[in-house]
Amino acid sequence: MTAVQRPTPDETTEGCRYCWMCRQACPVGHVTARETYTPHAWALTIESVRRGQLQWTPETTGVLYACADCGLCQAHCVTDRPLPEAIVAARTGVVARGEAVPVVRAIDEKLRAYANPYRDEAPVSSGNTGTTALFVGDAGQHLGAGEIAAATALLSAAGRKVVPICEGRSSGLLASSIGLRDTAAMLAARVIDEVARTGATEVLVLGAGDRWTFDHVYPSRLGVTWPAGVTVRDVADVLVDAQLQRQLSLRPVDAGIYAYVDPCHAARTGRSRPAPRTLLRAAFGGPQARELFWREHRGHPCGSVGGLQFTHPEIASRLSDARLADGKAAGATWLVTDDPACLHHLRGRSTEGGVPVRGLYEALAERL
Amino acid sequence: MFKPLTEDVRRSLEAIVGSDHVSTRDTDLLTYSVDAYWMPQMWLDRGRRTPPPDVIVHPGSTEEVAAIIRIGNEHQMPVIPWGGGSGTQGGALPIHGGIMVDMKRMNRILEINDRSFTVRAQAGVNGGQLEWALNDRGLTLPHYPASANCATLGGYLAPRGSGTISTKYGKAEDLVMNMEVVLGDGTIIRTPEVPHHASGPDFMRLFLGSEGTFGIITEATMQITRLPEVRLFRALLFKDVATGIEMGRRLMTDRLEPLVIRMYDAPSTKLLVKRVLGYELDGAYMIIGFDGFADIAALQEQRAMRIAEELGAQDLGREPGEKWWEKRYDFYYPPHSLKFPAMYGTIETVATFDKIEKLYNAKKEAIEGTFGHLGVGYIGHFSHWWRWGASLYDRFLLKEAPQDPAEAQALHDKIWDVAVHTSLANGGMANEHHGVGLKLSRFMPAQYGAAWPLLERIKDAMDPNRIMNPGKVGFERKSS
Repeated sequence: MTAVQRPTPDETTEGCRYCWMCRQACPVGHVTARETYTPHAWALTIESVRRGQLQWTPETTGVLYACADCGLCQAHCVTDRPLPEAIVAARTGVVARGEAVPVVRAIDEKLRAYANPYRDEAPVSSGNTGTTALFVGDAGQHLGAGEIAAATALLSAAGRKVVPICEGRSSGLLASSIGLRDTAAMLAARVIDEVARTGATEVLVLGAGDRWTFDHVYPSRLGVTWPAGVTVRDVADVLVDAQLQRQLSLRPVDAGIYAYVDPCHAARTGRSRPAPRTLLRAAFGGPQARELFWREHRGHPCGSVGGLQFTHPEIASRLSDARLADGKAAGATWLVTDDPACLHHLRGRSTEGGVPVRGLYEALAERL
Repeated sequence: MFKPLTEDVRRSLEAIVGSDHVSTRDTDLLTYSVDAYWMPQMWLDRGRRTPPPDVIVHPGSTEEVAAIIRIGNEHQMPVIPWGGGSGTQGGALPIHGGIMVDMKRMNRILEINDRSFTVRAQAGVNGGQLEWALNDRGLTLPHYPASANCATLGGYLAPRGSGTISTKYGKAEDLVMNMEVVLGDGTIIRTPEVPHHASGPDFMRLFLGSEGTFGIITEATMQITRLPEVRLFRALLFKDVATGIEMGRRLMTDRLEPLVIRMYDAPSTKLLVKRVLGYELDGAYMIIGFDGFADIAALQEQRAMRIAEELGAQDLGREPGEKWWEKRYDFYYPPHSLKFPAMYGTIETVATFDKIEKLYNAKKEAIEGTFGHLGVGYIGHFSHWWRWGASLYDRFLLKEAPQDPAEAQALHDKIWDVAVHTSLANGGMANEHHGVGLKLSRFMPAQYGAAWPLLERIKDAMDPNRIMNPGKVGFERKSS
């Protein structure tokens, strides 16, 4: 579908309200088993408000905010209907009219004051310069510092010197997902400023969410242009290349049966993620690898997505519990993922789920 | 008369399933008041709401389903099962309010048996997810309805659904081994382990097509098969529907075991095949397919092509056939799917080979002859074939329905009256695979004639208080 044919949010919800064809892919629908928490019902709710049959109330906005903005519905739609964009547009409208749920306003205040929703700490601006930057973000700084340090060590071992950027600064994805468009655009502009100040021509990212944000959210949702001449690459891809060129070697070990959890947003990027799996096989063995049921193109999010961990923590927990149960069903004795927010969220539930969760880069760095 | 929800009933339901699994929220009431049937969607589209359920419950076990049904009996409230909500006949609409039982929490796959090639699962499992689980093991449940992504296993069985490859593998009802059902009085029963035996009547089949009016299917065991080594597709063009029907008849009566025979009539070819597949063709477009071991499928196809040649078909080659297979569900996605302000109905039917062509012509004439002046069009394709006949998947279409919803519904019902009466008068059934639901409920006594009172007596045995999905499949509540 070309940009010219792309349906508007109203056209999208008009078409999706009576279409059930992506139901099988929706993670929230799956873990809640509620008709009202499925793509067609979100479209129906938005359309019903537009037609005056429902109003935005705490109840209806609660339904609106139950979508994970994970993109799986669109990724599984043969006609590529941008329902996540329509839901985000509806949330933006709700915010603009001051009808959003209180937690959204609280997140907005935090993001505006500290550029992150986790801690009352402003981002670090090191002023460093370099050609390759590592995007740390708010989750990397506040939830996954170990992963950042490990990724940096692995890159260094591979002969790649990186400059950390945006330490403690949100990319704007969370704000965008929950309808805080202006805040998201402001955060995006600051990220781009920092990239420019660093002078980097390559920005490395840890998780699929950052990739999705820079490639799609900035230009399509926020109208923000990524700097020309600056490429975005996944850290895992860089490490696999280094391995192929014999610039990086990992000492193999048998650490038991493991499974890789595709990070949130991975499915919607349209790219399979062989690189983390390749690295894991090199370090922890191919025969020990298991695949989750919800993987790759159908990879369900961990719960730390679309603001669910703030707006619907019970759904976020169910999603992470489902990932842990999936790992257990696959026979894994440990799980591994590469997005700091996913790692933090899954670890937070893993004591109850019983399967330990490790960071991809922390696990790999131990095998240097 | 049925009774409304009381606080007492709500508390009882919460005691059964937990308060998190009981809802009377407005968004839920709206969502569960509309399924894939044109009628409630049209009322909603015109700014009006159709009757909602009183309450929605989400049971997690068969015992909970049974307890909910007992509450319905005790308090004289309708109990309506809901699977994926993707039925086109209004079978899940709570037209008398009541307790909506959403089965989707009961979504576990209980056993995949790769020796007997069966899968046992709870009725609320999503069809697409079940298929993914089987595909991961190189297996498949060969029931590929257009609704596979959204429908549940119970929804496959309750209305006797057909899938794209039913011509080789049968309908959902042909694939089921056994079921667990909660009857209308709350009794939990299991049908025998195997479907073919001589140990008394096959009462399992009573629940196939009962659409929740006899009870709620809570679990089923289905036959599965290996994913085939190959699937071969080919497209053909016939000068007319009659020759295409003869092609299908020969394929079936020669027992060549085609996976699929799909023939679009000339107007469908012009409209749908062009819109979705991009081919501009004049005539009846047919796809034939064979699957299984490569050498056997190739041989079957070779024999089929000999018949096609004898009948003067134009061989369009593999690519248009493969493209159709790849895009076979695209017809049902927006923007290809039908949408408002249009009025439409799939008036599909089934008949034996000696009647099917006449039936097609009679329906075309009846719809276009009676309603053509209003702009109502008629298209059809032949999609599910047996050794004795075929289904005619035909539709009426009106680009702009009357704006007044009552007027729109009256016209809609009038077209359906003509369509179904024409089917019945020409040796067809009211329906082949979408089920009866609310839409066709009023035609059931006429369709079954002297046999209908027997079905009524069976209903009374299964559901003495007539609380199960009232107003569907011809079963109304008797006035007391």
